[in-house]
Amino acid sequence: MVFVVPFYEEIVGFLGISVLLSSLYMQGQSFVDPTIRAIAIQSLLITALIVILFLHTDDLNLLYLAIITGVMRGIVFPLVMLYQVKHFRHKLRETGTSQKTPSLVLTGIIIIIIGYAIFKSVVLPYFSNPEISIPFVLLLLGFLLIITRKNSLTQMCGYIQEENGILYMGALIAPGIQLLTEFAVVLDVMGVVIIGVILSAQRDAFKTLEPSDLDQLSG
Amino acid sequence: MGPEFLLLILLGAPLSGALISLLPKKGVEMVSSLVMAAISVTASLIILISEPSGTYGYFYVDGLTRIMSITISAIFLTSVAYSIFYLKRIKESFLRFRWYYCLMNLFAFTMLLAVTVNDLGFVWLAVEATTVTSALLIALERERTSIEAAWRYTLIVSAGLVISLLSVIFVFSSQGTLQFSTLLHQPPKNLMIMSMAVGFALVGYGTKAGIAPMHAWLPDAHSEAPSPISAMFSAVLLPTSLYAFSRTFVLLQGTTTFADLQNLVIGFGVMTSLIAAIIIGHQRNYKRMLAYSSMENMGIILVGIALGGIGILGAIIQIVSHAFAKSAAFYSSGNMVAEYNTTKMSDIQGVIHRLKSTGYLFTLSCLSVTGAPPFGVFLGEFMIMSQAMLSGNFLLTIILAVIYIYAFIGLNRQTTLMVFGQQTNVSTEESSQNSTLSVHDYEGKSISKPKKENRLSILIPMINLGISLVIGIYMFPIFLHAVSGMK
Amino acid sequence: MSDPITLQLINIIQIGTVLFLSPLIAGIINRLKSMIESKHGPSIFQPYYDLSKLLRKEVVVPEKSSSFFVIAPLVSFVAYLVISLVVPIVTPYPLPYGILLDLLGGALMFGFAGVISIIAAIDARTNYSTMGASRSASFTALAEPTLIMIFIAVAMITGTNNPYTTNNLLASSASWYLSATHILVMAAFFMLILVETGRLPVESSGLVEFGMIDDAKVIEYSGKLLAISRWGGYMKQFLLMAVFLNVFVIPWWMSGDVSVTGALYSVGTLFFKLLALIVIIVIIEETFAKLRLFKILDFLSISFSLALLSILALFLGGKVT
Repeated sequence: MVFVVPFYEEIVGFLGISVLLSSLYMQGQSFVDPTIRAIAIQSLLITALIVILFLHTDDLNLLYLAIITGVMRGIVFPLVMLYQVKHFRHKLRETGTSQKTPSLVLTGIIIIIIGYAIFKSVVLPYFSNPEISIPFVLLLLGFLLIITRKNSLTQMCGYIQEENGILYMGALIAPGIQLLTEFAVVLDVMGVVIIGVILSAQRDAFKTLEPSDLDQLSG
Repeated sequence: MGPEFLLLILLGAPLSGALISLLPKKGVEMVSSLVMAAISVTASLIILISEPSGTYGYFYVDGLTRIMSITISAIFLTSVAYSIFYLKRIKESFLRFRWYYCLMNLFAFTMLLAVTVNDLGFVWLAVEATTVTSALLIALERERTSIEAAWRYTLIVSAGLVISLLSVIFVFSSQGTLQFSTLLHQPPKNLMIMSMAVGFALVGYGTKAGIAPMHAWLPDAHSEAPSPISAMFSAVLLPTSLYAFSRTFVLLQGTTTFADLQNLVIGFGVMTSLIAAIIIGHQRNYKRMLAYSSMENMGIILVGIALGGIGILGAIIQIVSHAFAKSAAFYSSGNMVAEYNTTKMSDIQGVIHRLKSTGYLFTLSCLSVTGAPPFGVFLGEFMIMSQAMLSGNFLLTIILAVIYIYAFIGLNRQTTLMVFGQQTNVSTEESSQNSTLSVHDYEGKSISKPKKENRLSILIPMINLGISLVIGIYMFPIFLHAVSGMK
Repeated sequence: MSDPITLQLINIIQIGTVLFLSPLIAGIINRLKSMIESKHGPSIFQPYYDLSKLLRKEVVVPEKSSSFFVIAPLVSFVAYLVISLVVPIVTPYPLPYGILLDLLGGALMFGFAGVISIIAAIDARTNYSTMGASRSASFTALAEPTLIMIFIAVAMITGTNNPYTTNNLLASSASWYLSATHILVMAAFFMLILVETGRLPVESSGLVEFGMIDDAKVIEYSGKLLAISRWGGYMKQFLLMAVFLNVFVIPWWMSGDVSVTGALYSVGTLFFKLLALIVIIVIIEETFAKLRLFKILDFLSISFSLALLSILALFLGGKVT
């Protein structure tokens, strides 16, 4: 059964850009809750994308992958992180970022442009589908989120975003990659998320950050 | 016993050790971990001695695998044994000790999995899983700094490893398979994609191996983790990550882009070693200093892997002997942490007067890791340098020599001051000048009389240092043969 | 049928539509708002009554202001009339004066009218109008690049900046209509309309000095001049909405018939399109809280980002290399 998806290219392109938009939205957020919700939405968008790819190529692996992604990244991870936000209300907002958010969004766009320029000149000539520049840029935006933020959970979101980018790229250029591998990767990411949540809870337990303590971690 | 069975034992032992450790009975975690580690050492020894290379089910065994697995399981065994001593000093802990042993077992399991499994995707997976299993171990002592270090470790390493997953995807999209045994006999279909895969693997696995400039987590994690864990990190985790990189790197051997990639990798390796060698001499924290020494060694091993020829042999020798020597250094530093409760060098003077054997062990192991002649690291470094000379790259040879010397002086000058320095610290001077304060003797302990040390805490570093020495002596004829054959 | 006289007649219909339908739209918006707030509200023809009353009143001009203050509303008004000659409001094909301006030219014309009104507001030399001028200028400084960015994106799709070409392409090609670029352009344009027409969450129209922007600029006008500048404001709103609808969102249902009846048909459909848009705008206005003044810059930067992203989408999607 090969199901012809109407407007396949447009839908894929639109979903890709929506993923980028959700990423930019996260760059522009100084609150933690919306960032976590945005990562959930982003994961669900990628799930939708994989489902479309499945309908297009009729590769069952992609369907399983979509199910795993949707359930784990779209629902479980965000719930785990939101659970932690509930317990640390004082960490809801990242101080110091709220004034910078518009410039962070624009930085994100500049990163997109630079990332695309690099990608186009270095990687793209060897691949057939140009859409893979989106996951590449997504990866860079994930890094940007990690670098510019101090809040543990936002950084975790940046990490998941990176993984999303990889997943996206994998689905586009290597759809036949072993399902077992993908499944294990998802489990691994879950491990990182859980560890991250535990550690960030512990970090929050020390409310004051004394420079003298962190002095030991320099040099 | 078939090799598959042996491999299953090798991997199954730490896994079952992890499960048994969770049983709610006092003492069971130590015993089971020790027993299971010993079983995996035995299994890997048998594999090392008797089993031929080849593909066994999901596993792939070659020389590198065998050497890595014996190193990992041996360091695991000694770390478990040392933990029994070391954990006594920890009062407030982040984890129950049951969980500590469980995670340690899992940590060893993931590293063993990384070096034995055939599928490159699973290699990535196992390397990433080492992050998950080891992050909480760093935070064990539950201080502000150790939790911060664990967090940095988790975040930086996971974020970096994502890039190496990209490399795995690239390999798959070019070759259509991830089985290393198949890939090895298959010329790269799309050379540029494969070259990019190597570049991404270098960045990704390099983050985990502490390759500059992605090394930011390394000194923090090593200095804040409990000493047995620092030992495992430095001795086997970093080489495991380099192993994972080399698995992708060798796929391109003999292709037209290989020379460029070689230069890239050598560049990263030299940069790492150089940065570490310069920083070593300025450290104020002896565990951080050891961490930078590991970084320096990893950089040189990376150069060895990139150079090929007897450089590979040198890299392997260095991996093994560095693993044992560095773990000895971390164990003896653990003794000092346990005694002085600080990791600042300025607070520790004249270790030799208080902890005699520890002082000697620490000095010797520091000499060993920086490449003092009878030990194995020297052979490894010398072979890598010879290979650099052999390939006509004199500049590289000179740079490597400078790095060795700089690191050697930097590290050993500091250790010598620390170990053999006068036990005149500020408090004793003050007390001699102001007689009114003399009751506040330094930590209220006697100054000159050496303390009786825990036998276990001496024995374990001694064994490891001994193994490093034995490797140096045993490999010497081979080394001579290899070096003389160069002409 | 495409004889010059018919074309001129259609032209007159178009200008007439802009001139005489625009107050009605404003009236409907006000009535709808009142209805949602459970009030009776003014009649939908209230703007007409206001205009006719104001047109009969005398003009009072601030003592210190120059003659520019008097000319400015007329200049803006004419600028809007010129724009209404060249954008697709009642026809999907260009009218005789269509060659005057393209989309970018139209945008610059809007900008010109805006600048004139800002200068006039400064010329009034009172506190409130100067405050309105400075606010308006600082927001326009970000809104204008967004508009230009949108038109660059449009130009990249069609290869030209002609609004009629854009309209035809979008109406005929589903793949362009559904492309990410187009959807982002629509989003950015919509946000821009909210800014330019002074709607919540950007601005609450009224005489509350904390948030007033456009109303502050015309605060010194009275009588006929106030009528002209109000009317200009209605026309601006109408034009922006019509371009948004006819070029970007709903490029269909415009009669391609070069005839008066065809044009009238298009006016009818445009009215219903506008009604739908108005409902959406009013719902937004009634459900969102007003942004703080400094947050408006964030709002604008988001719309700018969307516009920029729409161009990037062309490259990322591989439509342009």
